[in-house]
Amino acid sequence: MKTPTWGEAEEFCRKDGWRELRQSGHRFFQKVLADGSVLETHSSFSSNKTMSPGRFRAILRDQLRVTEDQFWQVLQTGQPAQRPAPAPVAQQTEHPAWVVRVLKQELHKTEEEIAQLGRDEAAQLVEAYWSRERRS
Amino acid sequence: MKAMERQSLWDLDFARAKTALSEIMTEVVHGHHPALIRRHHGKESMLLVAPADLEDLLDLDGYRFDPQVTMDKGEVTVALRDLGLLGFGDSLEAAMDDLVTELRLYTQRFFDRWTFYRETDRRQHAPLLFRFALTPPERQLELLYEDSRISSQPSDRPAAAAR
Repeated sequence: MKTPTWGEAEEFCRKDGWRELRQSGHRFFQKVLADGSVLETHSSFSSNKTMSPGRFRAILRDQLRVTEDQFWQVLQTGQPAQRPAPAPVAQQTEHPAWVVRVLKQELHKTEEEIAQLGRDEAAQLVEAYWSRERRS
Repeated sequence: MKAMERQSLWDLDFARAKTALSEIMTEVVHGHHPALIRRHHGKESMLLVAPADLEDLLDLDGYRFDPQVTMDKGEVTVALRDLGLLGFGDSLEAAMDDLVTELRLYTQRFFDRWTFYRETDRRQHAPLLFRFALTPPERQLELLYEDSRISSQPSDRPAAAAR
């Protein structure tokens, strides 16, 4: 999967008609859709840095609300995207934050190891750990 | 304070409230009595209420954060999907810290620009953001972890989270 730089994400916002806002030294972009819903995202100072596919999908799904194809099309044509767009399919497993914390801090798993676990598998490891702790 | 009239809520004229603010605050905070202050013959009013009482009155505990974590190629991303917020880092701890920063900025922006957000779909974020704002800064990170745990348990409460 091709992923953008933070600079390209910012370029998308400008071409898609987002408004730039400043707050306490941070820069945000905001877009009000025709149905009155509000989208917001924030820019990064490291504009040449790229991002992982998982992070790109999260930004598309939760903030920009466009598909991957629409994202690149806006950059190419300079024309705003049509919404609503179908939500991108998640490729990476999502875990509740507390599960990841227990896996890291109590079971000493690394982020790489946790990334390989399925959602149910991770929850079962935590449950098994707590069962052992309760018994001891 | 006994001379002040009590109607459905503790109702005070602005001029009287100004001269007795210390006693009113004591009654609001320690006596758990919300006070309604009015001026210009009742055309303008404001409500004084202790934060803990407000949480109970509005049942803010019924609104929970649900941070979800993805890990990909050494990057950790935490999403609060209901609020459209993301925290980024190279570890869980860094991404959660970033999410707390994002949430603080959004909460500040949201209440500073309430007259704008109240007219949008983001109006429904208000209870959750209010709950976050009423949590002391040093407890806000732990609030997200606690809520994460509660959100992922089966619940018998209907419509527990802001959607």
